[in-house]
Amino acid sequence: MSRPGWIAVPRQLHPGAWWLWAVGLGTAASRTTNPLLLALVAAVAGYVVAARRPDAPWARAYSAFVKIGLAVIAIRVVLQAVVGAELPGHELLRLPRADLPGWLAGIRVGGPVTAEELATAAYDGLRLAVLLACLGAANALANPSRLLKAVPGALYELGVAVVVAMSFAPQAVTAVGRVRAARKLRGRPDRGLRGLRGLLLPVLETALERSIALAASMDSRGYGRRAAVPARARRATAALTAAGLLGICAGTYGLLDSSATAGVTSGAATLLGLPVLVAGVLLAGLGLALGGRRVTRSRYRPDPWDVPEWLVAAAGVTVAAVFVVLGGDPALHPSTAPLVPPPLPLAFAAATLVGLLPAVVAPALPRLQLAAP
Amino acid sequence: MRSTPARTPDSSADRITAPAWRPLAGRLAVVLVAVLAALLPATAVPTFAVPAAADVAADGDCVGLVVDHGDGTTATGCVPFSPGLTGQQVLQQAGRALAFDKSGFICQIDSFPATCTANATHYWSYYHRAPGADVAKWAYSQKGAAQYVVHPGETEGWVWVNGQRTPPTPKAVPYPRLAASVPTPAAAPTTSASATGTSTTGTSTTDGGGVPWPVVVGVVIVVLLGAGAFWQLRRRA
Repeated sequence: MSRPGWIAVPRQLHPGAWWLWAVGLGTAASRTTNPLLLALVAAVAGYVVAARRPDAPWARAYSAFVKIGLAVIAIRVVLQAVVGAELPGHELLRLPRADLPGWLAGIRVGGPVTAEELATAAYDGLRLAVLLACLGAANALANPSRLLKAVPGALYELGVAVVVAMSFAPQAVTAVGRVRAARKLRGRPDRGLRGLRGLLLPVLETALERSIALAASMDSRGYGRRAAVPARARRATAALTAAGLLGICAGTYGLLDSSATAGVTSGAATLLGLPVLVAGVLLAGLGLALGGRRVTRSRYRPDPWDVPEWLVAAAGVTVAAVFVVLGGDPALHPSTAPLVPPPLPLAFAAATLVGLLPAVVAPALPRLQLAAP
Repeated sequence: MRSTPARTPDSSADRITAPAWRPLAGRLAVVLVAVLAALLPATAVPTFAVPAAADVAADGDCVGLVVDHGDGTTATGCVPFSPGLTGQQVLQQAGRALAFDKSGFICQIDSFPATCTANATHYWSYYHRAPGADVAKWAYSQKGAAQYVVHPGETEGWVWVNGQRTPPTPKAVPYPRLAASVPTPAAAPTTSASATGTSTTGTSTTDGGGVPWPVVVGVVIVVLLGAGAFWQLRRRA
């Protein structure tokens, strides 16, 4: 059994590729409320994480994010049962209803709880939970410190902020393990509600501190060093980069928020999505290219972007593209009132399975790994 | 011989690492964030609010109904009054087929419009007309149909707003004409006189028997992937 050279050599995949793949899956998940497709997306992400996650402390991020997701579903369903919009249908139980004064009309508290209501809430919560699971997959698979290395040097104004933000979740997951072990050694509860009591604050604090320490260490190694560049060029660069990043934000929002583009008959709303994103990427790219001239740092062993990286990123983009292009399909939003079993649209299921590709094409991980800094 | 009950060594050690209020504050913050995250999609509760129509059961004990498609088609009816009857039940008892979108809005009445889409400019607009009021004096409902409790002799009006700047009001069909069309109080669902609205019951009844194959297939794939993930983890361990 011979494998192509680019798979056989064990190495770490470029973290950017993992993020592109995960964002692709997340985009797909945000476009549907079909529980079957959503479960499929989460399962695909979970399988790839199981197959390719490193033996690093942050690799537990996936299960941590899945747990947060489950909590989101539970809260969403309970809120729906108590104060959500009433949907008529199969009544499951009847809560005592609080009669509110006239000026609070439109808000209801208690009353009948129907299967339709709960299904609607669960579908909605599941979508958010699967989106979180995709984020968790990215956090588990991508090496945060290597991702920071890949952040363009021209972004050094933002670099420190990005350092803190991007490494926070993996650091938090690492810190949970450490604090838990410490509590166990001291003979205190480390699980359940009582364990949570002593856990949260130290974890938040440690994770933030470690992120800031990382940013500081990058700073002290000359991460933000700048060459002499005329003030006008500097301002032009900053303006270009800022406009580009704003465009990327607006475009991503338009792409992710299906309500901005779907269901509306006017074409104006669709302007928000892809075109703005592309324009933003171009502007930001120009700004970064210009800004790159004043960066004088060198790179130590840069991560290669090779065939596996292209394939992994393409897998994510393919999944997202199918869900966005065929976004009008009613099978993506199965009816909950009346309550019917959700369909399994073949095109979307097959597209989601494309997301499994990284489990095969990503190179195996090197046996011996150094822990995060 | 009394030991100090105040503090076990355990909890005092806790205090050294963090003051007592801090874990609490942290916990509250996390709960708050989780609640906000969950609330985000939940806030789409339809909000209307209503001037309670006068409680005069003057002319008649049925509740009128005018469903105006806005394209010249109007379905009308009159439903026998019973205490606690809601606006939605009036529609259902008059034999109108309803479909709801995920926020609980009525998006289709009698399968009109063709798709279940309700947005800011296209929606079923809900009105009330008090007993004995002027025939065109419709009052915009300030409650949802499931919440509004009707009064005898009142008329319920529904009109499809098709993107107009100034929303239309339902057709001014006088109450006596609606009441005249009411059948026996035992009242099987009826539509009346000028009704050309198709009263198909299509959308609301498909709980379908038999095995839901798509669900089975989907669950099997997900379970297989889960088993595969376990196998991967064990293989690597």
